[in-house]
Amino acid sequence: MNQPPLTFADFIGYISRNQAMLWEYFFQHIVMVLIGVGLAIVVGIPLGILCSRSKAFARIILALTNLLQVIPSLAMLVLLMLWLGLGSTTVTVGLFLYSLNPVVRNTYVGLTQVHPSYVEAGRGVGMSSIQMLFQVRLPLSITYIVSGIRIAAVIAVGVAAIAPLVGGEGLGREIYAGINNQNSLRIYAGAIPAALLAIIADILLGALQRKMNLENRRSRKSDVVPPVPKTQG
Amino acid sequence: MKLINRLITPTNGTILINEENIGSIDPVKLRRNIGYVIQSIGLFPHMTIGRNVAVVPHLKKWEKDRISKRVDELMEMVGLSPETYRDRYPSELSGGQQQRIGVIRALAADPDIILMDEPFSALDPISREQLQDDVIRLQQELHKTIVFVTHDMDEALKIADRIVIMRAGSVVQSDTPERILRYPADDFVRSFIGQQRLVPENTYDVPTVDEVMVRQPVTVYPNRGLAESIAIMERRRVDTLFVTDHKRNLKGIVSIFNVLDQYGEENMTVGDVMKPVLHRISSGTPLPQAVELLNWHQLSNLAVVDDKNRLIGLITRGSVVRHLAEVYPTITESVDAEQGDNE
Repeated sequence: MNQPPLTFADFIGYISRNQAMLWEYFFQHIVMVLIGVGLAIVVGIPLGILCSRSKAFARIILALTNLLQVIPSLAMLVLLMLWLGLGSTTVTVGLFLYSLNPVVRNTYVGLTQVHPSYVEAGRGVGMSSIQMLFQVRLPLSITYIVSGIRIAAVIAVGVAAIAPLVGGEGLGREIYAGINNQNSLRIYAGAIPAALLAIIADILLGALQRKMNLENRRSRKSDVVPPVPKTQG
Repeated sequence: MKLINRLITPTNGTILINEENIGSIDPVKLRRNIGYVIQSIGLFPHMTIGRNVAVVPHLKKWEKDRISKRVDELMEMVGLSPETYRDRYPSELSGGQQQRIGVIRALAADPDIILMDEPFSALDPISREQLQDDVIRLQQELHKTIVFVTHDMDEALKIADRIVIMRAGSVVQSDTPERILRYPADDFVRSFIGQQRLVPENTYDVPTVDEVMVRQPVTVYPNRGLAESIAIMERRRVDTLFVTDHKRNLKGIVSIFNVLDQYGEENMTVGDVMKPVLHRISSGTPLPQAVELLNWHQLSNLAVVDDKNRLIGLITRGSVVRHLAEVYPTITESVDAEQGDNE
C-alpha cells in the first residue's frame, strides 16, 4: 500500500461516489445479522426454557452451544460452506449458531435467577406452570434475555464481516475488495460502518435492556417517594 | 402450611378440608381457592398493584368489570385509595403497604381459607401492628379461616382464636390463647410464652407482709430527748418514730404531734410521750390482712414484728402501692392479651 497519504476528504468523496453500493452492503449486513440473531432468538429462548426445567438437559445444551461458540468464526463458516455451499445461507446459519449460546445461556440464567419467593407466590396463588412461565418467570428474566440478544447481535455484526469469504454479502465485501485492491479507502468504507453498526446495536439493545428491567418497575406518572402509609383504626 | 395448599405433599397422613381429602383435588384448583400470603416479596414486581390484587380472579377468568370492582373494593378495605395506587408498581410502595396488598390479594377471590406464612415478620413494629389490626378486622368482617404462622408470641396472642405451638415438626400444644397462658403444656411452651406473660397458677400468689414492708423503719430509743427525736424525723423525713429498746423490741410509737405537745418540757424523753402500739402484725401474715387493718383503723402505718416482738419492718400505704405497681404490669399484660383475643 504505497499510496500517497489519504485525507478525510478523499474518504468522504469515495463514500459519496459509491453511496448506493455501500448502502446496499450495509442493508445486506443488517439483514444477515437480523435473520441470524432472529433465528437464534426463536430457537434459543425455548431451549433456554427447557434448560431451566432440567439440569441434565441444561448441561448438554449449554456445553453444545458453548462448543459452537469457541469454534473460530472463520473455521465455522468454512465448515458450513462445505455442507451448505457458497452463499448467504451459509453466513446466516453461521450467525445463528454463533448467537445461540448467549441467547440460550442468558435465558437459562435469567429464568433460574427469578427470586424463589415470586415463584412460590405464583404457585401459591394457583398458577399452572405455563401461566407461571409467561406471567412470572419470563417477564422477570427479560433483562437477561435482552442482554443475551445484545451480546449475540454485537458478535454477529462482527462475524458477518467475514461473510464474503464464503460467498456472502455485506460490508465485508467492501473490506475484502479493499484488501485485494490494496485500497485503504475501501477498507475504511467497509470497516467503519461495520464498527458503527456494532456500536449502535449495542447502545440500542442496552437501552432496551434497561427499560425492560421489570423487577424495579415504576409507573411513569410518579417519580415521587412512596407516601407514608396511612394510619388507620 | 405448604402442605395445606399442596406446595408440599405429605409423606403420610391426609389433610381434610370440609371432610374432603385435599390429596384428591387438583393442586392448581385447590390453591386458587386458598388465599396465600408469604413472608417477603410476595407481590409480582412487574405487575401493577391492581393487577397483583387481581391475579387469582384473572386465573379464575372472572369478567373484567367484576375484577376491577373487586380490586377497588379490597383496596378501600385496607385504606389504600384505588385511584392513587391501582396503577403503581410494588417498588413504589412502602413495605407495610406492599404487605397490605399481599393480604388483600389473598382475599381477592373470596377463598374460605387463607394461609399466612410469617407475613409481617419483615415489617417495622408500627406497620406490623397496623396490619395485625387489619387482619383482625378483616377476619371479623369476612369470617375466614386464617392459618397464621408466626414466631412472635405477642402476635399469636393478639390475633389467634386458637394457637398451635409446634416444636421440631410436632405439635406441643394446641389450645386457646387463654388456656395456653394458664396451662402451658411443658417447659418449652412456658419458655416460649415467656415468664412475663405467664399467668401464675392459682391466678397470683398472695404476698406476705414481709414482701411488701419497708425494711429498717426509723426507730428511736426511749431515753432520747424530744428535740433529738424531732431532728431524727426531719432528717429521715418521717412524721412517726417507732420506739424500740436495744434489742429492737417494740415499745411504742411516737408521732410528731405527741412530741410537739410536750416540747416545752426539756426533761422529758421519748419514753414519756410515746403511745403504746395498738396494732401490729406478725411476720408471715398475708398482705390482705394487713391492708384490712390499715383500712379498718385508718392507720397510716403498721408495724411488722417477728415472733419475739422485735420490729422488723413497716407496712405503709405507700409500700402497698409500690408493691402493686411492681406486680401489676405483668397482670395487665396477660389481661390485655385475653381481651385482645375476645375482641
